[in-house]
Amino acid sequence: MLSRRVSARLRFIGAILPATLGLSACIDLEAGLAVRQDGATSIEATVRLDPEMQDVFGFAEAVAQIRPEIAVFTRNGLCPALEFAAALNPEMKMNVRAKQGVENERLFCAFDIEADTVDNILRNISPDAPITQIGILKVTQPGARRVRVDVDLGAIPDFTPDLAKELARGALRGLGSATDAPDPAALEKFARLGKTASVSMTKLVLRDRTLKLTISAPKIVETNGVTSGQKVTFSWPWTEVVDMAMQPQKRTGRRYFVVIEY
Amino acid sequence: MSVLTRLGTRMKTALAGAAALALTGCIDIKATFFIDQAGMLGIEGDVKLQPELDDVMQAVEAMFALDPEGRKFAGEGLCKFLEKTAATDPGGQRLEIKTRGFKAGNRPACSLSMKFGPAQEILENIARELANLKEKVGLELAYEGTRRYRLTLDFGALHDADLRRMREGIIELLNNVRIPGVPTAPIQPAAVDRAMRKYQPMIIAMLKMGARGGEGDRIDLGVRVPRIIATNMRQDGNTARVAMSYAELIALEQNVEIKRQHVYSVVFEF
Repeated sequence: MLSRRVSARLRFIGAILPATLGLSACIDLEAGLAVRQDGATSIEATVRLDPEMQDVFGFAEAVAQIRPEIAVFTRNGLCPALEFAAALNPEMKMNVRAKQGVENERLFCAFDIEADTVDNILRNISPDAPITQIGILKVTQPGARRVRVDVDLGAIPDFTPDLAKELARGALRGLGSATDAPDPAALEKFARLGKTASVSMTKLVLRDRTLKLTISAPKIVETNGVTSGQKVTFSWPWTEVVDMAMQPQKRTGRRYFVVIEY
Repeated sequence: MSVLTRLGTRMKTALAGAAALALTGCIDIKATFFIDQAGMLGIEGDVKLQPELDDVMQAVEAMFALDPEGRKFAGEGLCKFLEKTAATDPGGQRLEIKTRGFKAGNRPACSLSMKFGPAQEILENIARELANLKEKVGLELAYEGTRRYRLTLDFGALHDADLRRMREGIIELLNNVRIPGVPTAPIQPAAVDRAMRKYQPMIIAMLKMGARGGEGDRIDLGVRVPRIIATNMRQDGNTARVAMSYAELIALEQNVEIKRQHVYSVVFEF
């Protein structure tokens, strides 16, 4: 019964939050892994939105306050509602902490999710894991309590032909077409123009915002990222992320590494 | 029968695609409703999109060209695609859609004109429907004599109608949230009032985000008729216009009292 009650509340909160975030468009996302001294880890993510989003959230939160049983969950803001949601969901075994605030006039939502220990994570990324076999990710232990992570984006296979075919099939269904197998020349043109369009669309919607991936640890031994204290950051404008995703040649030679000690 | 229900599926898809593009980013619109000498009611105008949408429009046209039928109409841009598609659709043929794709600087743009049908019949229907509404929606069309009408655009009434719809929407949304085992308390009007006080700031915020970088773009609406009897809009011959940049629109949203003073009307004969 409790889970049903909770799920009804969550559906409401779940409906408001993505809708609100989706409207914002201009987002900076910083996501990463934090390793503590004892080897415990957590996943941290911060979404920074346009200053105007304070008013958008303000309205959504005020609407949620109308019904007392919903207000209980949103009293600290829409983002912290996810913390309640996770805590009350018996199927969710992770400990989620959420925070909402304003920094440099920009609204932010920060999430901190307790993850596994370094040892357990390493066990799950075994040398025969697909991602390792392909060569995208390599995790080694060059010494005691020392971990080296290598990422080679150039090793990500070109998924765009399959993506174009899938999108084309969906488009043909949507258009009510008599065929579900597009002409090869038409498909090639759709795929080619779709790549350019996705970058242009990203530029239009996300403007100059960035994606940052971070790793923080008691000691950063070596990296080709940008180090600040105990944190290393790899950063790309969203347009570059989409460009790299859509064009394999743009990923070639994109190798990143970090050696941490805990 | 509404214009859209008369159109074929592909035609509606093309129109929906064009509308979806227009929603992305700022657009500069100049639209004129007209009644021609033959008494036909129509609309014509130009839409200028963001430069980035040029690539997107080409991709959308390529998407339509995936379909063997759609391929027959592709090759001259999305704007022309709409006209060619309409020409094969019975509903579209009646609308006599004409389009022209062009570039305004580095911005993709489209000129479009379409005829809805005999003005007399359409205006009578619209005037009757608007008169039968329980509450004002901000747009009025009143019959003032043989082939004479008064068209009114009342920003204050538009604002009130928007607030009313949002208030009703919130109540409906919250009434639909049912939590098993938990009695649902009636919604307190005072609580809805508190939420509604945050609505206008949200609208302003959304407008600012949507218009960012294109604050100078304009929405320019006009009425061209055989004879203008009276108007407080900008008049140029037999055309009456009202135009506003997005920056002006945002400023207006920030001052509702001034917004209420914006009531435009035109009395015309055809």
